[in-house]
Amino acid sequence: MSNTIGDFILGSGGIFTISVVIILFVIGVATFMFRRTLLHMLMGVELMLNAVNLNLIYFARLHQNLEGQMLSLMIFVVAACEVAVGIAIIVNLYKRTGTIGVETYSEERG
Amino acid sequence: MDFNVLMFYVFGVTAIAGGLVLFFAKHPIRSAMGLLASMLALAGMYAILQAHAIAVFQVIIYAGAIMVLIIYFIMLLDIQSEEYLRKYNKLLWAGGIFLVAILTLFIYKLYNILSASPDTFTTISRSIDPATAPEEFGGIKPFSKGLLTNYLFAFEFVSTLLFAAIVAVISIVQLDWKGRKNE
Repeated sequence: MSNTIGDFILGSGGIFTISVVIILFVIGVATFMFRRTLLHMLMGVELMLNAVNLNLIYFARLHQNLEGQMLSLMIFVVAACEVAVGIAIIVNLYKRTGTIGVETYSEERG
Repeated sequence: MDFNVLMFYVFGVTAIAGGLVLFFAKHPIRSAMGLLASMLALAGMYAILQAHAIAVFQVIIYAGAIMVLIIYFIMLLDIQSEEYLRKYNKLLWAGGIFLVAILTLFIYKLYNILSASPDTFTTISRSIDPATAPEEFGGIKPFSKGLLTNYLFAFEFVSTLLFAAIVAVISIVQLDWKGRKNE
């Protein structure tokens, strides 16, 4: 690896990366909170997990420590489990109610 | 400007643009495409940050398996209902205040750290000379060696989690079968 990218990671690249992480995480939170379908909420969670992964990998590179990369691999597995279980639940809800809009569920409660 | 640095900026902007498409697109399939673009751009950023193994896994697992599952699910349900034309919650304003609050908190924390020591990113690892990382850092060889030695417990533990997820999905699907038999 050339020296230029290393200098960049130490300098302005750090602030740029952390800014990308913050913006992606906030977009994920916004998608989770504001979109009205379960599918969008699931994808918002995925975006949040991706932002956290970027953070871990940036600091793993900065400290030259493999722990961050290992932890991000574990996050991959957690995301895969989450999507599998989440989609099974959503398909069941869709079969019962015919919709995946979250507001319908709160109206049908009780 | 170095090519890697240029591509790092391009990938970062692409990732944010994909996230915005995910948030603003009306149809779920467009949102899924935005998320896919975001994930692929992040894979590029991982590769530039010398996490080569993670970048490959990002493309295979996230952009391959998980996105195929989500897109297959969208096709399966064939969501074209009228109710999705209204995109956002009624409580948009309350959530907006919360969102601005956490964004301010994040930026304030970052600003705090940087104003306390402006060269945080340079002093933090001066002892290990980060500008010249060894060529093989984050490659598949040290990664897999670490995975099977130092991090073996986490590796096995996460496989238990996968097994639990499989059992959970099977039980959820079987519940539905029983429910339909009773109807």
